[in-house]
Amino acid sequence: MSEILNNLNNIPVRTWRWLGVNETNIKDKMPEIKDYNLNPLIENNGEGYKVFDIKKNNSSIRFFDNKRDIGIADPLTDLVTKNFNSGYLIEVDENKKVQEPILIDYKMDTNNSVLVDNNFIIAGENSEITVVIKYSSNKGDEAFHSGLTKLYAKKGAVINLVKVQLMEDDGIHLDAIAAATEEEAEINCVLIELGAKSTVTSCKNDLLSKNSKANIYSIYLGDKDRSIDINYVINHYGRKSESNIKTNGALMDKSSKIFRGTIDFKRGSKESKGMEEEYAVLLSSGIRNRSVPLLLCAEDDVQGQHAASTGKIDENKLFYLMSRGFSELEAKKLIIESSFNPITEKVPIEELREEISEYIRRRMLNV
Amino acid sequence: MEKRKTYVDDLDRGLYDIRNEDRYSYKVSSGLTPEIVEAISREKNEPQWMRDFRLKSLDIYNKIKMPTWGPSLEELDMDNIVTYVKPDTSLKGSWEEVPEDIKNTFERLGIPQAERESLAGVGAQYDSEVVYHSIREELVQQGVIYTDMETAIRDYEDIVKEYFMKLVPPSDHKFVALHGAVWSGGSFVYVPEGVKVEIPLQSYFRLNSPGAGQFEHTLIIVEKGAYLHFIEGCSAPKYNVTNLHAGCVELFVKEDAYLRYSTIENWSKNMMNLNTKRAVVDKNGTIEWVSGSFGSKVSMLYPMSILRGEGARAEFTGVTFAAKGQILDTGAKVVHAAPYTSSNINSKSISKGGGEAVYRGAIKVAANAHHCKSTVSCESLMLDDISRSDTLPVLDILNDEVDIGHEAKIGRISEEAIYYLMTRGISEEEAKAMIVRGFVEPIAKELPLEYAVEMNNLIKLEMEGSIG
Repeated sequence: MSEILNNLNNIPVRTWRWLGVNETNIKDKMPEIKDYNLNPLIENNGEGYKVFDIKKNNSSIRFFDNKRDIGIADPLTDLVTKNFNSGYLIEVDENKKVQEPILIDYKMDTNNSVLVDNNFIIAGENSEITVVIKYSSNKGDEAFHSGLTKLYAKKGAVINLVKVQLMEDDGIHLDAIAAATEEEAEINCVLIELGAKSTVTSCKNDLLSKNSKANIYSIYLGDKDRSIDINYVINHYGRKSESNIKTNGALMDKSSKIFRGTIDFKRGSKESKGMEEEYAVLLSSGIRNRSVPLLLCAEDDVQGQHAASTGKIDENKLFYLMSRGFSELEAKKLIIESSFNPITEKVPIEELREEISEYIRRRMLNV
Repeated sequence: MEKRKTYVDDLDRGLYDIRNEDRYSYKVSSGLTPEIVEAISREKNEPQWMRDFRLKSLDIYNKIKMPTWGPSLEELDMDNIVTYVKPDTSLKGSWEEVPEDIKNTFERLGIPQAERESLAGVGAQYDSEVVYHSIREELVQQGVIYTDMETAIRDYEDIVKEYFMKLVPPSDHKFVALHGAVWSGGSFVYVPEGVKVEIPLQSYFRLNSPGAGQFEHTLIIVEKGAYLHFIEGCSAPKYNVTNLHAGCVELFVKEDAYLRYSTIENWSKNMMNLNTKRAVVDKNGTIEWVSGSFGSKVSMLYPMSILRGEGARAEFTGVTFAAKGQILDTGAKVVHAAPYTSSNINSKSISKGGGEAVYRGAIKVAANAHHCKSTVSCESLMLDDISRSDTLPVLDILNDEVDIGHEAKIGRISEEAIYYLMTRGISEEEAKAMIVRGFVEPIAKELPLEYAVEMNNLIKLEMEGSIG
C-alpha cells in the first residue's frame, strides 16, 4: 500500500475549483498496513448487548451489506473495507437500554503504528447505547489511523457515539462515520477531534423515516501547521425528521481548516427541521479558515437554517481575565476551553473529560 | 387540518415576448471559427490590437474545459449560435431616426419615456449593435463620456486599451474567453475626477434574433471622488431555439468614488445567460450591486467585487425568481484584498413550479486584509414541493483580525402569518401576495422607482386559490 488517497470529503454539490473545497487529497503517502495486535476492548457481552471482534467474525457484518447504501463511496471507505486490521461489531438487543458507556480504546504505538479500524453498531428497536471510541498515539511513532464506523439505529433506538482523537502531532487521522436512522430513532455523534498533524473526518447520517433525529456536535483545535478537513452531511428523507450540527473550533499559528456541513432536505421530508452552526475563533494571522455550509432543499414545508461566524477572540474577556492575573496564554486557553465546554461535557467518562482538558492545556501552552 | 398550498402564477411576460421580424444588414454564419471572429473584427473596422485580442481569446476558449460545477450546459451547442447579428440600422442619436419596429420595441419597454423623465443618458442595443445612444449636454460639458463601445474604441482608444478585459481576462473562464473573441456592443462610461452624475444612466440590451448570441461589453471607469448610478436592463422574446448571452461588465471604482450598478434581467426562457461582472474598488471607494434575476432558462451570474484599496466597500442586494423550467444559479463573490474593507451581501430567492434557485457565493479574505468585516445573508422561499432551492456559500479567511458572519434560511410562507392577516379581514390570496411582496421589499426599495414598478409588474403574483 503506498497509493495516495484522492477525492475524499466531497461536497454533495460542487462549486468553484479555485476555492479548493470540493474535495480533499491526502498529500502523505499511505503506509504499509501491518497487523494491529493491541486489544482495545475486552470482549465482553454485557447485559443487553453483544460485541464481536470482526477479525474473527467477519460474517456478522453482513447486516450492513444488505442495507442500502449507508456508506460513503470514496477511496477511504474502500481502503478500510478491504484492509482493516481491527474493528468491532456491537449489537444491542431490542428494548435494552445499556447504561454504562462502552469504551474502545485504540492506542497506536511503535509496533502497532498503523490502525485501520472497521466498526459497526446496530441498535435494536427501542434500545439505547453509548459507545466511546478513543484514538491516541505516542510521540515519534508517526502513527497512521484510518477508520470507518457504521451506525444503524432501528425504530425508536438511540445511539450515542463519542469519538475522542488525541493523537500526537506526527500522526495522521482519516476517519469516516456513516449512519442511518430509522423511524423515531436518534443518533448523536460527539466528535472531539484535537490531535494529528492531518485530520480528515466525515460524518454522514441518513434520516430515513418519520421523526428520526441526528445531532453532530464537534470541536477542533488547530495550531502549528496542522490541517483539519471536515465533511458533515445530513440527508433528510423522513417526515418530521430533525437535525442539528454544531461545531466550535479555534485556529492559531499556521493551521488551516475546511469545514463542510450539508443539510439536504430530500423530496418527501415534509415538516423537517435542520439547523447548522459553526463558530471559529481565530488567534493568529497565519491561519486559513474555510467554511462551506450548504443548505439543499427540494421541499417547501421545511425549516432549514445555517449560520457561520468567524472572528478574533473576544478582547474584553481576554482583558478581564488578564486583569485577574492570568497570563495571556492562560486567558486564551480559558476562553477557548469555555467555548468547547458545551461539547466536551457530553463525553460521558469523567477521566476522559479530564484527559481532554489536560490535552487542550498542553497544546495551548505548547508544553 | 389538510395542508393547503398557494398557487403563484409565473411572471407575466406579455410585452417582453413581442418579437420583430429578424432583419439584419450583416450576420455571420453560426458556429465559432477564426474566420467568423475575423469577419466580426473586419465588419467593425477595428484596430489590429483588438483583432489580435479576439483571435487570442478564441484560442483560449478552445483550450478551456467546460465548468465542472453548476447547472448543465449540455443544451448549448456553439455550432448553432450566431455570434454576430448587425441590425439593419446604424447608431442614432435620436429616436426618430431609429427604424420603426426597433423603436416600437424600446417604446414598449418604456425606455424613451424613462429617458425623458428620469435618466441622464440612454444606450439601447438591439442584437449585436447599439442602435441609440444619448447623454445630457451638461454631463458632456463636465467631461462625462457615455457611448457605445465601438465609438469608444475609435474615439478613446487609449483608455479602452488600458482597461479592456484587464479586470476580467479571457483566461478567467470559458465563456469570458468566448466573450473576448466575439464581443460586440455594450456601453463605455467615463466619469472624471470629482464629477457627480446625480441622475442615472441606463443601457438596455435587447436580443431579437433567434439562435443568436449577445456579447455586449460594458466598461465603466469612475474616477477619484466621482459618483455614478448605472442601470442595465435586458430582455428577449421567446424562441424555440437556444439563445446565448455572455456579456462582460468591468467596473473600475477609484479612490473615494461611488458606483451603483443596478440590473433587472428578464431574458426569455430559451436563453442561456452566462454573464460575467466584476468591479475593482480602490481606497474608500464603494460598489453597490442591485440585481434582479427573473428570466432565462439557465443563468450563471456571480458579480465579483475586488476590494483592493483600504476602506473599500461592497454591497450586493439580489433577488432571484426561478419558475418552471428555469435554473437560476446566481450569487456574489467578494475578495477582501486590503485592510479595513467591508462587504454586505443580501440575497433572496423564490422557487416555484419546478424552478431551481441556487445561491452560490464566495467571500475571500486575503492575508493582509486585517480589520475587515463581512456579512452574508441568504433567504429562500419555496412555494411548492416540486421546486428546488440550494445555498452554497464558501468563506475563505486568511487573516484573524476579521469579523465575518454568514446566515441562511430556507422555508415557506408561514401559515401563522397568513392566518393573522386573514383574521384582519384580508383574503387568503391577498395575504399570500402581501407576504411574497414583503419578502422582496428590501430589494424593491433599492431600485429606482420605475424599476421597482417594473419588478412589481414582473412579479405579478396572481393568486389563483389553492391547489393540492
